[in-house]
Amino acid sequence: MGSYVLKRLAQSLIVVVIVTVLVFGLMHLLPGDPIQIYLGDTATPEQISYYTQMFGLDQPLYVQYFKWISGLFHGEMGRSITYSIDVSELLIKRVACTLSVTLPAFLLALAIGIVLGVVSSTHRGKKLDSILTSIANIGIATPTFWVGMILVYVFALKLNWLPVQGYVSFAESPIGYLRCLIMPVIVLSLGHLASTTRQTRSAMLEVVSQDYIRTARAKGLPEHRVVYRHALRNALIPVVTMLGGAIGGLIGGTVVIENLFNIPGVGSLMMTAITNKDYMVVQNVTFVIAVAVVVCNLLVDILYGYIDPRIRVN
Amino acid sequence: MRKKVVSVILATLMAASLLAGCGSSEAATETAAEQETSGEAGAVEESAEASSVVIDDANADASGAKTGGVLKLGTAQSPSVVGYTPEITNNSFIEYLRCAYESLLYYDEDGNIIGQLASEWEADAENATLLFTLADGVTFSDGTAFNAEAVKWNIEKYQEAGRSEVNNVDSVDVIDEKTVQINLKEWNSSSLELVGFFIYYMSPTAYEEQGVEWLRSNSCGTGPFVVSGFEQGVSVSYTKNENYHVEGQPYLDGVEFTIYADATTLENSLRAGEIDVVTYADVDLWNNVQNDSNYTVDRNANGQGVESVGLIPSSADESDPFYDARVRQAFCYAVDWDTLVSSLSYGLYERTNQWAAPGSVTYNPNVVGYSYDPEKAKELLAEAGYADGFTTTLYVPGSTGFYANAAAVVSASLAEVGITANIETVDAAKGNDIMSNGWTGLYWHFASIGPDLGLYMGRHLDVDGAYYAKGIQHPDDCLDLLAQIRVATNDEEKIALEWELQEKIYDEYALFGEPLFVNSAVWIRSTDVKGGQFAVVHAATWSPATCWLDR
Repeated sequence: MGSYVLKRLAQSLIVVVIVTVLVFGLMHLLPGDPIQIYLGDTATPEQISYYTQMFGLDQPLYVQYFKWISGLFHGEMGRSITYSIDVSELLIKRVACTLSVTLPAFLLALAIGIVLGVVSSTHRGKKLDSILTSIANIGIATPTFWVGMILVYVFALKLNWLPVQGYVSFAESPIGYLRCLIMPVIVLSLGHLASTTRQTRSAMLEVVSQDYIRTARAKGLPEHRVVYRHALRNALIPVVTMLGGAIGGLIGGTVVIENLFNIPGVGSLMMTAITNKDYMVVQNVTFVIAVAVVVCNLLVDILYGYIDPRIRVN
Repeated sequence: MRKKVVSVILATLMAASLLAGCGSSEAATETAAEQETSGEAGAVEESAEASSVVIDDANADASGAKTGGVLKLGTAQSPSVVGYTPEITNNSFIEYLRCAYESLLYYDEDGNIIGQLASEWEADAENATLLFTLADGVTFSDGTAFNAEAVKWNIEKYQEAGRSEVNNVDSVDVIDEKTVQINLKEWNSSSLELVGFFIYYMSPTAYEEQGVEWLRSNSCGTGPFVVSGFEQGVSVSYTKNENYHVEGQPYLDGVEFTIYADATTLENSLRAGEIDVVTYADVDLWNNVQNDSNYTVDRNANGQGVESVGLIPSSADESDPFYDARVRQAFCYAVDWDTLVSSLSYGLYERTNQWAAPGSVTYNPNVVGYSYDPEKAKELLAEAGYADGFTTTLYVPGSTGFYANAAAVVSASLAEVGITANIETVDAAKGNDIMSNGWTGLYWHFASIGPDLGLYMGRHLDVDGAYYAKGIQHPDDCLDLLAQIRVATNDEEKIALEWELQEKIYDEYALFGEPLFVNSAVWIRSTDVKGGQFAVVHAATWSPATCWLDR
């Protein structure tokens, strides 16, 4: 297992390095000068020179790249052009906001989705199965921003129960924190919850038709033990695979949710940075997301081994 | 049965969605603030007497002003720096700047120059100097004195940052504690406003003691508030400056800006009462609230700080069909601009046919412009050798919204006269590249059209202008007029030259194509927000010191 993890780590490192080269190169290939964008039509050559030097953009590209990479080893991510602040400082706050939405959404989708999927599969062909499957289909087909707008209209504008927008940190106000995150978490989790329900249902249906499940039932094991101990554990492998991929989707989905609920997270930061061609922010956010996705995939791979010992052995 | 249930659920959700998308339709009284336009020149002051350090606020009933409360503003503009003013480069950030900082001069609601930190001023064209006498009793929020040395220090900081406002300043002489003389490299009729309005004074002591990094996220000016919190791209908050030099002001305890990325969220927030004011509201929000008695719409009417949006053809390259002025004129005749602007802006945007808001001092009523005449367009194209038309590119920032809709109409209209305009969507970075480095075809023309052509039009017409200059011609007679405007020594002369330049640029050369409409920088406020001169004296700003809440 140890060598397996080491091998996967080495592969992940190569992926991250390639990502840094690609994102750096592509950002500098795109048209438009970030300093000119920042200054607008009042820019003077002296001003452009002042800011170009301030942000180190007057240096050769390879020097800029290696300065960035060596800075990462020291925990320095450079300075944002748009926000005139260290990117690391910016990212710490933004990542906290994004995690506040994505983690609960992920856990909600996982917990409820698996339970609903199991319930649906154990009631195959019955009314409950039809209802759950229909709801899951609607959940997948409905655009998140639309659901968000409906929730805002009902719960913020009409009932006045929840705020339209914003983010309050837990330290500042625990109740404010919960109030501002209820709608974003629900909206972000809906699609993934529906996918998890469907995936769990179909995986469960495949597993329950296997011989060893029949054997377990023939041995007279109680049904809940057959389902949750023998069937679900094996059915979880495709679900875990899907959830690993869903991490990227959740991060992508936050762009819409953060805009809709005005949450200052990584998604909205990335959008602004791309629009303004803010090299340092785009490079570092991409780097952080790449690392997060690689780590999640690595964890999923390791998790396989625990769920199914055959994978570990092979 | 199951299908029926699903249908009912879907229908209910769709109906709710439609309701969510609609604004309030409650009919109410018209509350839009219509302002009379200025007929006075705001250009060169040979010698001006002090008006008053206390800004006269026509909107405020000072006797009934209530104190206390925090004003909450929603905006799409996010500053990167809030306290180190030489690095606050964009005009749209003046809304923040004016909370904590002040300038030597300001404007009244007719666009005339009045004093703020200066009690007297004198512009000497012959000797190319500006002499300012500073107001008494002004201190920075750290308690240190605002004096001539502070003025000199601030101007030098602006020069270090390469700011265009001070690139004509040769040196600054401190005459005495309260008098400062600015020596210009050469006389320029815009210098008084550039130095007077666009430099915001920071405490040199705060800079020395706290450093530039601190000042980027905090403030130490002479304004009514001080920065109390700043999170880049999220919010800026201010608290009352207890050392403010105007007795009894500010009325508010604090001001909070929240930055919104999404226009719908901004509107919902306003309707939910989470914010009191929206700065730079878009036309959809303007349309949604204009008949709602809960809100007041404020618009600038003196032309200060307003912007326009138009369509500009490339004309720098001889091989480009638009190189020929007749082709540019044909383009202008080919589209029914009045209908286009009216239909896409709910009839709210004001049309213009030149580099000025109608009614402002630089607006020349003699400019004829181009009314819809496709036959005339075809004639001009034939005269120019393009009887069979030609193909060009119409660049559009974004694939949806106003520009995309307008582009579709323009492209269809041009096709009627034989011009094939292929629409190409560009992102912000590409759009900036077009404006900075030139283009071939048609692009949107975003221009500050404040009443000073020497300053604002020069940014695009000058050969070395930062935007659009590389994509257009620079006719000698237009550049000559621009130079004359800059060295004009009195208002009458300057305005006459500016009117002449408007006719040349638009009627003779159609150099900037068609200026579609004035973007009036609309501010929307809850009706219990009083005073504040929102957009009244300058489209980008307000008077935080005189604003109060009637609650």
